[in-house]
Amino acid sequence: MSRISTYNHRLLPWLLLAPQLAITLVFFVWPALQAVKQSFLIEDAFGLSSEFVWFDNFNELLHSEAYYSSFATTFIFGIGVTLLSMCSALLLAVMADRVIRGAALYKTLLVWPYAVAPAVAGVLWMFMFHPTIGVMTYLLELVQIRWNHSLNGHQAMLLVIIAAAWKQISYNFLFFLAGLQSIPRSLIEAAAIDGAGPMKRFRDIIFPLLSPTSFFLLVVNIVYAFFDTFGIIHAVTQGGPGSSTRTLVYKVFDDGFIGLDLGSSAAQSVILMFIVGAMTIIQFKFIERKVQY
Amino acid sequence: MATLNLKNLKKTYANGHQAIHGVDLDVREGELIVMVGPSGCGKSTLLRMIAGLEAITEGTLEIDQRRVNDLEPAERDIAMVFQNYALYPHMNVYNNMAYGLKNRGVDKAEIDRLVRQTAAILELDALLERKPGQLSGGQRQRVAMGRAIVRNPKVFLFDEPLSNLDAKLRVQMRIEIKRLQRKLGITSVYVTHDQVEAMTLADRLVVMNGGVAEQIGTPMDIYNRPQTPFVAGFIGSPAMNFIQAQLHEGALTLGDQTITLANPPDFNGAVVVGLRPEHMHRKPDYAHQLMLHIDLLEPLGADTLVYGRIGGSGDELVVRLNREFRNLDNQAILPLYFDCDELHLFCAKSQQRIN
Amino acid sequence: MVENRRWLTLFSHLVIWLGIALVALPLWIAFVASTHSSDMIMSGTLPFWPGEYMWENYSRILFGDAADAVGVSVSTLLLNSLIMALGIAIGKIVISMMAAYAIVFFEFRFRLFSFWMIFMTLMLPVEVRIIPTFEVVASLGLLDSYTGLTLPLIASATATFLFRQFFLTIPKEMLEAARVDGAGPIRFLFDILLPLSRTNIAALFVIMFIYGWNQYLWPLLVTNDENYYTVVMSIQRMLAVGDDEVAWNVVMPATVLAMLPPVLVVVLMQRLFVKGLVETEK
Repeated sequence: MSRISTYNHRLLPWLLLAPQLAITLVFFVWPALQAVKQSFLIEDAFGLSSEFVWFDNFNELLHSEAYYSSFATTFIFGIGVTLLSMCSALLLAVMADRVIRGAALYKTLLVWPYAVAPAVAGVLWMFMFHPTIGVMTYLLELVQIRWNHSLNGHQAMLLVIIAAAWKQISYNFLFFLAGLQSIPRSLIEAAAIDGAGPMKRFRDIIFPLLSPTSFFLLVVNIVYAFFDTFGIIHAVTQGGPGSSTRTLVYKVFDDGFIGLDLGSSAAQSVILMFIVGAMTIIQFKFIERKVQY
Repeated sequence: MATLNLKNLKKTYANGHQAIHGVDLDVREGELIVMVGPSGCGKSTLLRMIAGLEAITEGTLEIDQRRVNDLEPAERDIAMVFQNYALYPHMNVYNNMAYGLKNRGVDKAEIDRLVRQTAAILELDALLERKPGQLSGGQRQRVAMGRAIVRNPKVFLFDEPLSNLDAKLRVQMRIEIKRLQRKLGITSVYVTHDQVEAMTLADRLVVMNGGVAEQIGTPMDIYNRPQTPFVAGFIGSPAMNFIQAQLHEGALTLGDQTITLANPPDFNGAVVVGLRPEHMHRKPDYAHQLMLHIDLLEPLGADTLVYGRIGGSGDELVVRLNREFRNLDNQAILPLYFDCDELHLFCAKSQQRIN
Repeated sequence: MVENRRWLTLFSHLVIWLGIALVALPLWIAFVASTHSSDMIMSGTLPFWPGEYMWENYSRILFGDAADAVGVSVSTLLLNSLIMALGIAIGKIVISMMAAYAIVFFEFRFRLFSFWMIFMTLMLPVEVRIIPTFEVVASLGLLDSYTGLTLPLIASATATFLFRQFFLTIPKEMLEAARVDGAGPIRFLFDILLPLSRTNIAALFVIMFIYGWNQYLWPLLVTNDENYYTVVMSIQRMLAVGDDEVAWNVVMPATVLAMLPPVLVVVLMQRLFVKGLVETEK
């Protein structure tokens, strides 16, 4: 027997699909193809003529120190955001799973940052760490730390990492909590009967059972840090100081819109598309085996 | 009341799999036909072809002498009760029953009259405002019936409607369905894999196997004269015993004994002998005898099932004996008696009945 | 937990409250700052409690000009954001539901092809194809319009998959019963499928509303006319004042207002939000 019995209609399915397909074609596929085409061209400064240059744009990128350093920046940023937000979320989720009273309230009080736009999150943290009027800057001064992220590249990186991680804590918290709550109570009780204390139980039972959730979150967080944090960087540091927070996505924007190097920007887009594609496939392959909620 | 005629109906799927190999069936007005068979035999597919949910590859389907092959389900004037009921979960009982009528443009007052009348028949009056999620299994089943009845269709189709109910409720609903069908007199086709349900409900049975109607007939007809070993084994519980044997000039060789048949068929060669468990007896009032080496006893209360094998043959046998024989020794050799009229003989090669 | 260790439970509560406080701190400080005068903020010693300028700060940005850098009132910006968020959320839901309906309930050629085409959009986030997408929108004359703000963002593989996933859980007998009851494809969609999808639609709406409201790069690109600015992107405009002093008493209330609607949606519709979040990741 067939999986599901279906209507037989010639025109209707196409009418139903038409809007989705049209928008996909016009605003997704066509621009993507344009990017590919553009990546093989070099335009003169006024956009009057262009020349077909094969892989020159890619070649140039692969020999450009700035591109590699942008890769490194993105990598550090991604790792920082992922580690910081996952660790804090896991800690909070474990604690919230432990307590019976107040768990629902805690959830409400922890999920809202998800709703804050990345750019707005950036502004919030930037205000707190403002070199002259920031609250945190003032407090740091008390322990002899001079904070000025508009001059210090490391501090700038730290700031955008904190802002990006802050926004992602709620997401990680929700999934970790769901993962924790899906661990059968009887398993934990069995471990307790076997003489394992709370720390040991966490290490030997809970943490291994959480690993599917953790892996899933790892992929999601990296994707988030790579591609969804443009707003934070743009609003807070504009890639600076120097190029210390110029991530790959920011560089595409910067080279294209500010630098007007369309060929190079397009080539970077194409490379990014491959990266997103690979990530999506990893995510989907994994989702097949994803934990039950 | 309507007739339903299936003429050489065939179904081949796009992948080349042939599910139905040409079925002929003429259903009389008001008749209840039960299609029975193991899973995968094509009974549901055939029902869905009648409903219009599966396309007919070849042959003709007529409802009331009108060819309906190419009509949508709704245009065939049929109603169907599904195995999982398929009630619309967001509509209350009233709207579930009214939906089909609404789609046909029946006016509101008439819908109301029909729904309330049907609800009264099925004792659903008090449940009309409830949603399916708030009903018990048996109540849902009745709503599904109501949704079918309210339209007063030409043909009722039932697709294993009782298989989601527990055993007790199943028996109760079985009786209710039969009573309703008699009362309304609507031509019905009922699909089930449960042979007790099939026997008790059917005016006529269609035993399906591998996309073919192996035998069509009244329940007793099929019980008494199964045409193939498949039908013989499928109808009756416990299933009929089969013994490989040789038939020569009216003499039947069963293991290490030979029986001379009273009315021998005109056949020589290898045969399959069928003998129902309830047709072997302890009392020596019957013409023939066989010796059963007992393996295992299963007391059921009223009866006892005796498992064993006959001498000179490896064939396993099950025998149903009355309760007074429950004090049997587990390893004993038991003499059993039977009539040769109650033997079913099938040609081993063609699998067709020969006596 | 298994044992009753009071100090451990107490410790847990403590850690959570500390976490909540840390998470809420930026919001609190932003709110406090939004209620003080510019001078007070610039002095570098911001008090911990709200000041007396709340009404003045908020009413000025809501009904007067927000800042020289933007030139329209924040209420206009909020309205634009609302239009964009609603347009994206509703648009995504409508076209995704239609597409999923076609893919699940109809048999037609290129069904798989259509499916993969929609799937591909997952791999092409706007951030990685900024310039060509901008060029397409520009060439269609959609810059500085609500259509330009919403239309390119309403194709959604995620929403289509969610609906597809949900439709596949509907027993096939439901469709068959509807066909026997004389419901054609359109009637089935409106009478059966739509009511059954209510919670899924609501959950998706919450997620997509937030997604739409929080768009940043896209409105930044396609709007030059401040009458089409959204509130989230405008904050960056307010900050980018070159060598001038940032008007924090404008930026901070605007920031609070930019956060408020999506945060309220998440807090008030938490159940739907969590459902949406979990389901869209499937």
